[in-house]
Amino acid sequence: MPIISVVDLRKSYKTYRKPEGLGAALRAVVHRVPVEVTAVAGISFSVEAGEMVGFLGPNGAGKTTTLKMLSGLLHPTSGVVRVLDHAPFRRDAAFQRQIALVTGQKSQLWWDLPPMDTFVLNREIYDVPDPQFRATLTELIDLLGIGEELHRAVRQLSLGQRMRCELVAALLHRPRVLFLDEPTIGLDIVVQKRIREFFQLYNRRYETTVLLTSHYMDDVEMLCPRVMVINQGRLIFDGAISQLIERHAATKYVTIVFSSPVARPELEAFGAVISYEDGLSATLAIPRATHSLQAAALLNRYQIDDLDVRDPGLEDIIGDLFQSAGGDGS
Amino acid sequence: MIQIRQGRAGGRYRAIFRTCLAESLTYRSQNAVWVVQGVLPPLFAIIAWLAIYGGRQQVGSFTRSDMITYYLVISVAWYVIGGRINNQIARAIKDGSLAHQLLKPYAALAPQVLGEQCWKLVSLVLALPLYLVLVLYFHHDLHLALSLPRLALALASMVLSATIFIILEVILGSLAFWTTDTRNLFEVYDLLLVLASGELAPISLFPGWLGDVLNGLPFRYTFSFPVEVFLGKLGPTQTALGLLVQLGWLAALCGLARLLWIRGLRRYSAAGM
Repeated sequence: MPIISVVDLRKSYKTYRKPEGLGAALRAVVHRVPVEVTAVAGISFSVEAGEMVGFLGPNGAGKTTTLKMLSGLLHPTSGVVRVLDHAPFRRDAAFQRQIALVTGQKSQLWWDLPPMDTFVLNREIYDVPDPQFRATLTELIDLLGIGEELHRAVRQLSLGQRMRCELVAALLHRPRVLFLDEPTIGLDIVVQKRIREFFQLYNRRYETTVLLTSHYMDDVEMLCPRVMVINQGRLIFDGAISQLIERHAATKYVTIVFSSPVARPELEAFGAVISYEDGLSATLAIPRATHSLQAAALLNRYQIDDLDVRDPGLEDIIGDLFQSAGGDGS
Repeated sequence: MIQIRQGRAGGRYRAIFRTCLAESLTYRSQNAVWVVQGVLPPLFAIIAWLAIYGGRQQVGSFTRSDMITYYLVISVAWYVIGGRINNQIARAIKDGSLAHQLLKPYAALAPQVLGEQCWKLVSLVLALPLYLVLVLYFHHDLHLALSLPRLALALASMVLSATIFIILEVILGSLAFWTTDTRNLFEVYDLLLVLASGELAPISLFPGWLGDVLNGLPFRYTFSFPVEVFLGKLGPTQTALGLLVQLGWLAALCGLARLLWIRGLRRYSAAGM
């Protein structure tokens, strides 16, 4: 039985149009124009226990809204959500004891107190027996490499130190389902890597089900065998990362720097134009079978300063997917 | 099994209280400001009233002694009953910190409500020496014949008052689900509270229709009513009736707060997180 199941989930908000100019603002006092914004437009999926799933999508695609509905923060407008056999928005204590949400945006740590105070508070809030609390705390501190920052006020910690403490606070009650919303945002590469390795190890050790949104493809590529791509509130891909890459494996990306500008339509004869800047540089997606021939033809026809051939990365593939689905790909 | 659960639930709120207390101790200067804010207004009110009394023994039903006691008691009672919770609730709604509270297995507003009790507790402890000085200074004027049953009734009505006060603050704070511009609204409310709760002057001194209006509002049942009971200004019937009115207001306001909370959460977008 899946640990998370979602059927035709929708969320829309009613907001009011913000008018521009004084006259319009005055009219809006009396008559406001409602606008219905659809954040999630009917998605369905299920997740088995122990899976690590990555949510990908541009800003405003509906990733965070979906996570908020799964964790019980938001009421769905319609559709069915079941997590651990609970309806999350009812916020039953039995459900809340089994989940945690970590977000890079908003801390759960008490700002003016050392992180240890938040840990001890969470022990009481989640009824964690003392021996288990000690064991888990020691293990997490060791895995994340936390030291003397345990006893300094949170406001004095660096972002990296704070984020590691954030993870301890979220995991002390050993949640079965973990929602991670941009957990590595703003962190330097060393800390990002450390946190990634931590999640990998933690998931393997405890079979925690993890749903992750991140702007860093490396996070998703390393952690999540399965990805869901959301765009404009719709699920446009759900499957293994390898499947996504394979689908695009038939092409090579050729990036060219020209000595003098070349018109875009001319380039389209060689392959799909992925990027194009002022005619002086462009990236083309060219079928693998013919890419060397086409590259030679390009070199023959144009004055070329530089030419680079590579396999498309996950980032390229996702960008491609957004474009073909009609998103802005931002 | 059930007993253990209850014990642990108590432990949960005790732990939140302890953490809030630790936090409020980190802001020493703010506590000092609160002490001054708490002690100065009643002191000035007493000085002004003593000038008004001049040679007179009584204004309305209040003797000099009643008046001095009234302001001293109501300002100490503020630390038990009052506080400023509405803006903290509104801030938590607007900046997204409510989200973390909604995800945890406790009453979602516990950190704001308990946190405020900690602030008041620390401030009261700091202010007590000053109140002691005031009591010693005015002790010739203070005549308080306090019986045990009256004290018990005053304490009971104070518990109800404190609960009514918190529920009113929750109602106000919940408005942040609908509007981001809560500040002006809260300022108007806070002003209304000072005028209509007995903080400014005893409600029984307001004449005619104004007195009637003030008696009909719930604000009298925050600060004024328990102090009236404490001072022995009310007969047994009035006291019993007042307690019933308190219970009535409490039920009605709880209903309204619950309705706003449930509706508000449906609109909530957890923005800022």
